[in-house]
Amino acid sequence: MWIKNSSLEVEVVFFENTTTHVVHLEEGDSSKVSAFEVSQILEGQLKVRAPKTACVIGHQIDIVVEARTKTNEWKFRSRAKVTEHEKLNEEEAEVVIDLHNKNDIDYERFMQVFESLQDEVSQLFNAIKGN
Amino acid sequence: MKSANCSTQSRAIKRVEVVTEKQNNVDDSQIKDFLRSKKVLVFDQSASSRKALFDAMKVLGCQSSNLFHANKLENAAAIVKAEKPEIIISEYEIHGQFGLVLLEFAKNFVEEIVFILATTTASEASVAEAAEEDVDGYIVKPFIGDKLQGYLRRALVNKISPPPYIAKINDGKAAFEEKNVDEARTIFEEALKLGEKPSLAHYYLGQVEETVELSDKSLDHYDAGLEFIPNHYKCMVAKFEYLDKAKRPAEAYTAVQDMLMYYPITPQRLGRIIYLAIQTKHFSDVLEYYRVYQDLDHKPEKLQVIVKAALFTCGKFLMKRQEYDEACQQFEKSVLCSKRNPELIGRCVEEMLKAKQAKHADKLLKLFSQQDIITSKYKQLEFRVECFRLTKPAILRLGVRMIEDEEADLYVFQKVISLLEEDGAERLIKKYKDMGNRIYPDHIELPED
Repeated sequence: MWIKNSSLEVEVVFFENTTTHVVHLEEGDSSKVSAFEVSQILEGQLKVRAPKTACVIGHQIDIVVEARTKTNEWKFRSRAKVTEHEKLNEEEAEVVIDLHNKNDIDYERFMQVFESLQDEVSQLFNAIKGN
Repeated sequence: MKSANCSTQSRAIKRVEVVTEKQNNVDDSQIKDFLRSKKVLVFDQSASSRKALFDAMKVLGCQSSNLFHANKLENAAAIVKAEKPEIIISEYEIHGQFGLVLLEFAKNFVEEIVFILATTTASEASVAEAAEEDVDGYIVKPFIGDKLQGYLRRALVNKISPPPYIAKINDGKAAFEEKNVDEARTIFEEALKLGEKPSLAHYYLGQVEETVELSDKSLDHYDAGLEFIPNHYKCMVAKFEYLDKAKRPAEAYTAVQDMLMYYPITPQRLGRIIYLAIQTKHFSDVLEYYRVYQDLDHKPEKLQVIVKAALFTCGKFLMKRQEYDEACQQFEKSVLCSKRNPELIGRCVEEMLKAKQAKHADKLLKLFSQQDIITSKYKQLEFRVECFRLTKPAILRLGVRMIEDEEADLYVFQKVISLLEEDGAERLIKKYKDMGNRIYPDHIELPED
């Protein structure tokens, strides 16, 4: 009857540049996971922080993103095209990727996870604020 | 597919009544005007999160030159001191440094802060903790692209142009903080007429009455607030805290149970609730609270002490009921909570030995750390456990060795002497009685077991 910690972990677990045929992140390679981060989820797109040299505009990539709580897990795999590339610092860039699989049911479920989590958090937050 | 939210967990949580946000009628130009001169600090280690937040704030109306960022608490604090940002957007925690600590610090430098958490942490406890503090918004990462601006906007709008009811509440709070109790009471009573469901006004009226005198007038206000909104968080918490202060533990604990149907326990309150559970003999609940404790992102040391003591007390209660397996489990958890404190382990072992539960005593004995098993205390406890298992000659040999090694306590002396008495070994009896009396004068008698 008590709380579970529903902190959501989101990780890029696989990243391959299929244009250059370079796998920048293998599934299960925990040493490089921190080099990638999903920072924003847009309609049919993801914004991802990645090593600057991982890709450039126009490249095709394969990406697998995993969302996890303590009790559930969702995986989303897609081919995508890099449509924006902005340098963040000497090592990193923020890339926008257009997802080819955005109409798949997996992607819809994936989006739902984040939307419903924010809704639940906002609801609880406002209820406790009591305004 | 289950969504990643708390209400689909195994327990049934009642739906929290949606407290709809009032329409503030604030347009984009008002927000731009508000933000034009405001300084913003983003405390986040992620470069892409910082960029997303900066971009969103610029779209809403902030100037680039007024945007600052930090990825360490000390750097953020330095920026607060130097620039006095009126808006802070912070992660919940970065490498053990908590954003809410930054909020407390910033209040010393900035009178009116808009503080927003933008974080991957989305546990109910952290959300509740934030909502109880002066946090104005809670945004979950990763951000959902076009909604980020909306969430930020919402947090700002309530500060720029609060609805009349909230504005009245804020005036009342200001008077209350200035200790103008009569003025505060008048303002909150005016607020009662402005709100459709003025539970918050009743809450503050209850708080006002509590400063005058701890009487049921406050309780009446909290109950009145709950009439409007049965799960109004502040009224529920205030009712619980009032009953606790009024030393009505059974009612306070009932109020807690009601509250926990809807809301999570914050770390700050968990200790008090555990204490009440013990006080009102709800021992079976303590194990549930322990699970809550285990799931906390942040475990304050004071809370660890309470949890450890509560588990030990539960264990003792179960010992009285002769539920030795369950008691042993509680003792184990208590020991783990204490990070294997040898004194606590010793007490747990002694409880089991008193009840002649050698098997459980032995299990608890194994919780001693490697560095503690060479101590005399450990060996004395081990001796008592072995007394249940070894033959008399073996016990005697072990006891004599401990005496000769100067590691024996009173029990060891008494046991050795009593075994020698059975054998009629007068010379040895006298020898060990003399040795024992030097350390424990007038105490060397036969042990009761």
